[in-house]
Parts: sequence; C-alpha cells; structure tokens
Amino acid sequence: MSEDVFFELSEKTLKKIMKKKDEMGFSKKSWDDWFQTLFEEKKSESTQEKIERIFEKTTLDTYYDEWIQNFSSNLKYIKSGTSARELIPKHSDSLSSAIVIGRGPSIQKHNHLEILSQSDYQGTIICTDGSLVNVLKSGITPEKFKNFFVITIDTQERQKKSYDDPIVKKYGNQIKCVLSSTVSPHTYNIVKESEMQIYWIHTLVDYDKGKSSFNYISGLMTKTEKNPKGLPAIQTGGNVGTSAWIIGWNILKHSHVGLIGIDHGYYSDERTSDDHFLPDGNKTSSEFKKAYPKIHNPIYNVTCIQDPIFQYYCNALKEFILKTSKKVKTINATEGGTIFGDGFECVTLKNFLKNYNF
Amino acid sequence: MIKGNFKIKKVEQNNEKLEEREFEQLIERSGAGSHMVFRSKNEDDEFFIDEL
Repeated sequence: MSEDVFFELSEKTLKKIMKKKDEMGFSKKSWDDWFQTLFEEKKSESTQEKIERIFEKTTLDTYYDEWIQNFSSNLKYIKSGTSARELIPKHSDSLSSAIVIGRGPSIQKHNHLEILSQSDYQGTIICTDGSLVNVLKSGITPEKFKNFFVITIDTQERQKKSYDDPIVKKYGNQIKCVLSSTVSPHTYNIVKESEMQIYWIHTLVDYDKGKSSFNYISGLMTKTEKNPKGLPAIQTGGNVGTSAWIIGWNILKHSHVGLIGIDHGYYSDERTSDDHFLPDGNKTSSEFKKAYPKIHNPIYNVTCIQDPIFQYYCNALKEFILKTSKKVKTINATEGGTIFGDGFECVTLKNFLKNYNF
Repeated sequence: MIKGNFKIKKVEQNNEKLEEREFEQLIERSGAGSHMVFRSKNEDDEFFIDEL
C-alpha cells in the first residue's frame, strides 16, 4: 500500500538538499536511506552508551526531585559542618593503601570479613554503608583499624537502615562518615545520633550542563565565609562501591586501593537488591541474554549473572580503573565477580594483605 | 517553485530495530540505578572536582 504526499519547495532549497545528500555520500543511494541516516541519532551507539543513556534518564526521572529536596533539608547542616576536603592530606608522597568493602556475595563465600578482621592490616578501611554493620560485627572495628571510614551516597530514606544497629552507636564516635549532600535527612539524623564525624561531599550528576545544572547551583549554595570553596565533588559510577574507590585515591590520596565484596553480579537466580527488577517476558531471546548476560570470570573459574544495573556499574568501574591506572593502583581482591580485565590485578585477599600492607 | 511528491511506502520494521527496542525496554524495566555515572566532555573533570 502506498500514498503520495505532495510538497512544494524553492529551487534554491532543492539544490541545497541535493548537495547535502551528495556530500554525505548518498548520491547513489535512495532518499529513504539518506533520511534514515539523517534522523537516526543512535546509529553508532555502543551497548554501554545505550545502557548509560537509558539509566541517566531513569535515574533522573526517579530521583532528581528527591536530590533537591534532600539537599535543601541538609543545607543548614552542610554549611555549619565539615567539608570532605578536610580529609585530603597535606602531603601524600609515600605508599599507602586502602581497602573498599562492598556487600557482594563473595564477601561471605570467601570469609573475607573474618580474614581481614584477623589481619594486622595497617591501611585504611572504607566501608560501603550497606556493609557497615556486618563489618563491625566481624571484628573489623575502628578500635583495631584506626583509619575507618563509611560512605553513603544513595539518597533514599532506606539507607538509614545501614546505621540502625547498636554496634554502630557503640563505635560511632571513632568512625569518619562521608555523606553526599543529597542523602536523606533521615540518614543524616541517624549518623549524627551515632556521633560519627561527618564529612560532606557533592556527587557529580549534571555539572556538564553548566550554570543551570543542579551541581553548579548546589555547589554555589554550600559556599560560606568559613568554607569559600564549598564542597568537593566526586564521580559515583552510579553506586557507593565505586564512590568509595574514588574517595580512596582522590580524597584520601592512597596510592593503592583494594576491593572486596565488589561483585557486580549474582551467582544464582536468587536476587537480593532492593531496586533491581527482573521483567516478565521471554527470557530466552538474544536481547534478554544481552541485557542479562552470564559473565565467566576465568581467573576464579566462576560464572555470574549480571542485570542491566550491574552491567552499568561494572562497565563504568572497569573503564575508570583502566583510565586511571597510572594514577592509582587498583587491586581487586574480591576473588570472583565481574570486575576483571585490563588496568588492574586480581589477587586473593590474603595476598592483598601480604603485599599491600602499608 | 518546484513541485514534488514523496511516495510513502509502509515498510515493516526490520528485525534489527525490533530487537534494539526490545533491548532498550528490558533496560528501562530493570529498575533505576541508585545513583548515576557522570560524563563530561572534559575527562579531567570526570572523577573529582575540587570546587564546583
């Protein structure tokens, strides 16, 4: 079935159109081919770029208003509080290491908390908020490990649960907590009540949009006479584990950063995350397999299932580690998971503790 | 003025387009990340900015 659509245009316009078609290499191709190329904005988009584009939209749609509301509630505490800049050491020439503790399934599988708690590790402990209670309960405490940090960047009210345990209160006054300026006020309150030392930071979301961006505006609003530069801002890579890695070398200036419990994948169909969904529908299609791939880690001979959110986090973290491999040495001691590749080494936790205990 | 006409043909979407849409829908329905990856034209700004 076809229909004709008539149009009128000037000879000058027609000449311009013909010239443009020729210039784009379509002189011998159909008008339809040329139009498809002209209006196809995503033609050369990689899978990673596509996933990032979609998650940028869904994350902004879901959380943008919440970020602004939380920031507004936190502003008076930020202005009277301490910037994470205060954590940047004046001198950082020597070798030093930190270990980031995530809450991925490998942490239990390999008894990593027990191994670390029984070690004489001299470096810095950086807990993701979700791992804090288990870390403390395992004996990894700020009494034994003096440089002890916990990080929260997620903005949902549910993050307060990470701090809602008597053991957090017990050790709170010895823990340094880095909070994003957009965390829920409920999270701030419980951290404050536990007497942790709070250090504020911005998370980068839209700074590339210039003066109309939330990052620019909120950055300006946190500047005070006491703190004329406001707060520093970090890449989050979409999650607290990558944020902790960034803080390890950009704020705390460690030359070596190890990772445990950073799997970015599941070892079975059993799913544990609050906001990762498995849509209904055909689970055998090639597109499903692309969105939910099985990743074989040849170093530890394990296979993980990723979902799109873990692909998003994993691709970014691996890319960042490779890009910054001359600035920071990253050592993945997770002993499994999906983080392996160029730019870093994978070792057992025991070897990490033996070789990077400084 | 020049008069022309577009002959409009109804073309079935090819498989590649349908698969691409299916993939995008799977991503959209998988949830929202808890935060987001930041990209900048200035790669030096991608990891850390001392002052906004």
